Amino acid sequence: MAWLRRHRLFVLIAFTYAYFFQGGDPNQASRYFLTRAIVERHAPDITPDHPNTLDKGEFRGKFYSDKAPGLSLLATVPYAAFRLAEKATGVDERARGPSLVRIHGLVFVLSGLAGVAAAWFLRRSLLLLGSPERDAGILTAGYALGTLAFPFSTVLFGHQTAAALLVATFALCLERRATRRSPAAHAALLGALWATSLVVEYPTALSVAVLGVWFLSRAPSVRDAARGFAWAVAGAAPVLVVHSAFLYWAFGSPFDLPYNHVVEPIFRAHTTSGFLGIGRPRAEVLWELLLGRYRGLFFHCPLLVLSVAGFGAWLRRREHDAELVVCAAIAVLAVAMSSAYYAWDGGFSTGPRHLVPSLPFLVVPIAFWMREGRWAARSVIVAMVPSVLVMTACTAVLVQSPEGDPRYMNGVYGIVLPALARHEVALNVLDVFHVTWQADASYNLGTFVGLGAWTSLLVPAMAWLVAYRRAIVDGLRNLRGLRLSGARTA
Amino acid sequence: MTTNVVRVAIARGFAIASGALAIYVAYAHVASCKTTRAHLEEPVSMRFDSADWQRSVQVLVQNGLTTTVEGDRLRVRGTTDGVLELAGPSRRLREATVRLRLRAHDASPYDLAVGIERVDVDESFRVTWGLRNDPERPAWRFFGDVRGSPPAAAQHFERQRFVRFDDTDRARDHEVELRISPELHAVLGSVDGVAVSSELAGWDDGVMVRPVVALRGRASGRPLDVEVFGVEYEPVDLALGTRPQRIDEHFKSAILDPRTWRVLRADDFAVSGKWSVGGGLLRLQGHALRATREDQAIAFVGPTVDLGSFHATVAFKANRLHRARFFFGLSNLLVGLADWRAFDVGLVDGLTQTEPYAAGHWEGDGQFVVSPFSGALSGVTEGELAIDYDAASGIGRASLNGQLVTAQHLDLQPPEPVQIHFGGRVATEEGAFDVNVSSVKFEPIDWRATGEIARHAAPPPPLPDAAPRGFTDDFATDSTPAYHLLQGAAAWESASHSLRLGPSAVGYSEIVRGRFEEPVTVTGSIHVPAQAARGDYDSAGLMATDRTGDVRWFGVIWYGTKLATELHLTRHVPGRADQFLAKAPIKLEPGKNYWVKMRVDRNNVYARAWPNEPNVLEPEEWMASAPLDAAWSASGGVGFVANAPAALVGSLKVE
Repeated sequence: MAWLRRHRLFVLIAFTYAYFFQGGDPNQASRYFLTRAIVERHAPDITPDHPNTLDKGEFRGKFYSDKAPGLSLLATVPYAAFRLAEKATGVDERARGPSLVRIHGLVFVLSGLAGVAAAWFLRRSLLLLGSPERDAGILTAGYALGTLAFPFSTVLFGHQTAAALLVATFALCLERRATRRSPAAHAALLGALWATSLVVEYPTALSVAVLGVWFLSRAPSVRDAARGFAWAVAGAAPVLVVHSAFLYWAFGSPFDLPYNHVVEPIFRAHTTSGFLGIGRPRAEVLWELLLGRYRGLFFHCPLLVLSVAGFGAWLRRREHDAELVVCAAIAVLAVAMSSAYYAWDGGFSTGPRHLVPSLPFLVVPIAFWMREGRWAARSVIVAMVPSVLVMTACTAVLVQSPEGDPRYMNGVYGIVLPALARHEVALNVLDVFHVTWQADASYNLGTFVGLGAWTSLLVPAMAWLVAYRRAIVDGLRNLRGLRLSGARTA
Repeated sequence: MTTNVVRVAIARGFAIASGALAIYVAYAHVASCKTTRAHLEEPVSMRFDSADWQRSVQVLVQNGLTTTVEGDRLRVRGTTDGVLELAGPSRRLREATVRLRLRAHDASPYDLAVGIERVDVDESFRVTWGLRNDPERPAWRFFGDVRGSPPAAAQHFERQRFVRFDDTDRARDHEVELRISPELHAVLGSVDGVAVSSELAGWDDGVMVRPVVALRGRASGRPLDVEVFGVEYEPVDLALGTRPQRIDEHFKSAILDPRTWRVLRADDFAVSGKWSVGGGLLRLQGHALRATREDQAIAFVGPTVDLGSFHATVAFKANRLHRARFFFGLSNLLVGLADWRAFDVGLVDGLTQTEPYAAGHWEGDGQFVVSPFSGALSGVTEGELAIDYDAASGIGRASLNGQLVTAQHLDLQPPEPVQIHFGGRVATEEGAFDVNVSSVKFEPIDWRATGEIARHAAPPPPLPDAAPRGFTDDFATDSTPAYHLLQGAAAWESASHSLRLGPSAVGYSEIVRGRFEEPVTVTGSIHVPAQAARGDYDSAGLMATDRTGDVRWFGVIWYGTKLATELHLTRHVPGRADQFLAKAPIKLEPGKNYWVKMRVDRNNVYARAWPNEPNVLEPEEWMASAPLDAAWSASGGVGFVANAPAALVGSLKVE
């Protein structure tokens, strides 16, 4: 019980993430089919399942997932475990219930727990950078529920997993500095995590590069840096070898990426231009990425507007300048690369999903803004409220918001809020297991057991309110901020 | 210390920026609330499950048919003389479906269909899909109007795909559904969930419509018995838009994005066309196989957008152009509709070399015009074709490598939907072309949002201040600064108190003055040189331009050695072949001066000429006249024109 109380923040985050299931879509299906192919058919192609997904490549008459294979490879372990459990219990693997349990479980293990881990490492980083425990707790909750980390912790995309891996390495680097230890195993672990991030989401290469340079720059000497680099490469090697082996297995070359074989003409028309569809950053896309009502990051997550002020406050404090540069570089590079990518809007998505791996690095500076004074801390609370409401609504109704004309498409106000007004949640009817639409493709645990739309949303809300009733009451009473004291430094 | 000050300043700047962003985000959320309200507009449901069904359904016409509610349906009985039309509440049209469930009990001749009807215009425009019941040939088909807007010309579906309705179907209920797509400009008819027919249809996004059910007999005295179940009208989300979209295509991909380009290829029987893309080039090739007339070998069609002001270019290189043409331009709906309109510019192989040409609809008569022209741009095989369109004035300008090919008042009507296109056509059985295209750009200007006029279009030629009516210039002094030289050269001749026009690299020298209001009469003196001083095709006379300066009327004397001496009324548009609309013979004596008088009223242009001699009276009758075209816009300038290396003109009088 004491453990539960001490870690209630992360338990609640995990429960909230597990509560929502978003059904299928081409992206998730493509990753899931690859996992299934490896475990069940011991094959790298998804040919038997390919009619169920648009996100696929074709090579020598067979169809393949066009995604970076990392997440699917990671998922083979829990998938195999689920299958073993099904066999042991005699459950019909093709039945609707076990199928949903299996994929819901995979989503939670791969993305949900990644979201929890990202929150945990973010909080750890904030504490190591000098944030008071209260501020760290508030920002961790804000990140977990008030940013795109929330919806993307409930889908089998690679973004949240990559986010967890990146912020984990950030925290580990900070911790090494705090403890003044520099073991080889530490560098090897970092290398392994960075490599995993790469093979889960190729675009995180820029963030990995920034973190790697930062890690090496902090070595006491060139010799130590060289040794650290060598150990990091040694740690990364097994992951990269597995990745290359998979590519060789699938496409006959260890460097032939899945994106080279995309089938869909609309995708191929762009992935064959520039570097896999990445060209020059575009100003109009930059506006849409940050401020647009269609996919704008700040529109969906108003909390992150304070990142700008946070970077300024951090700069003024003259603390942790190197970490400031790291966070700023990761954020700027991610935004620049997204604005240069042809599919900057992420297709069926909530907000600019390609920015999800960099979001922890936009939350870190807000901690410095909170230290500017009581009014600054209150501004964070004020900004968190709409962020959490918007993200909760999107997660509850539809994460895979359809793509459209950025000039008049508004997923939050055009789809999500009207659905809530009509007492509708879990709109997605795309299903991983069926070509045709399925009414029960998406759900939350409340609607799954028969609760009404609004009532079902009260369950996680009540869990948070009950767990933090005293902090909420105190916060409202003295307006000095919420005291999320349940999470303490390990 | 300095570093610290800088840091503080940056921190404050970031805080201010953050505040500004927060304000904008808050505004964006508040402004977005209307989006939610719009999406909460209820779909229309017309039910017949209670006796008071007429509270939610309006009966537009009921004549000779009786209706009774039976369970959840409306039973309609009577004879095929009768009519029954029902309508629901109005909605603003966007992508939508309207469905009706029906059962036809007999084989009598009547139509039963469901669809939509305009309610924001006086005339009734309607498009429906349903059953054309018939004892001989029952079928599912469209009814009504493909345009949804006036004029009514060619408003009915002319071609119908025959979809048979079998007699065995009568025993069952059927659900007919009409999907209206303002975005795609199409209607789709389906029966029992299966799409069976589609047509182009110009129903626009945002017009007010209401769902309708129409039952209409087509004979007399035959029994009619049908059941009509509920009608559902539902908006459908379609993430497309016809708002102008920017295109900046450089063909660097391995394939073309099908959302941007549709490729239209020839049939490979009469004409063959092929294309390849990659490495920054799109290669178009085509040749005739059995062609007996001009035919399109290949074309690339862009997305449908609302017509507004725009600037569009294509960068090309014609490797081969033989009995063929390469074109770039735009048209409204490409096929099928009678109101097809276009504006193209391109290259065509002339007798000895390539020539630019323009084609399209600009006469205001709905007819397609093709105008090749030769000149300084002859022989050009590489460069950039450009089209600038000013939605406010309706003027389209086509140019090749920055030089104007033509400027026309187009028949296209903003904001009608249009598509840009480019491609190749072959003219004869020998026709063939091979053209590389390296970029296509389309930069729209949403004039509905900005009200901006012709940002890219070159402004009309400036005209000098209005000249007073009744003004006379005998050129006793150098008054040329008060005139506007449109092209060529003009110089004052102090000795003869006249103007010398020419030489001109483009042929014509044109100089005008004033802004006149019709009717206007202008008189000028023209010197006819000695025979030895004349060129083969020399001419000189008066001219009047329209407001834009693009359309010009000439009243000129032809005196070139290879020409019959005549007075001509000629309509001239830059980049187009001149239109010689009226002429009259005139006897000319070398070395003498002749008066030319030209009159423009609101309907016609007139001209006459006579010797500038003291004892010769002005003729009473006009020698040549021609009607003004409908697109003529008054208030241009008047002056002299000459197609000669050195023509002397003088004594201008405007009345």
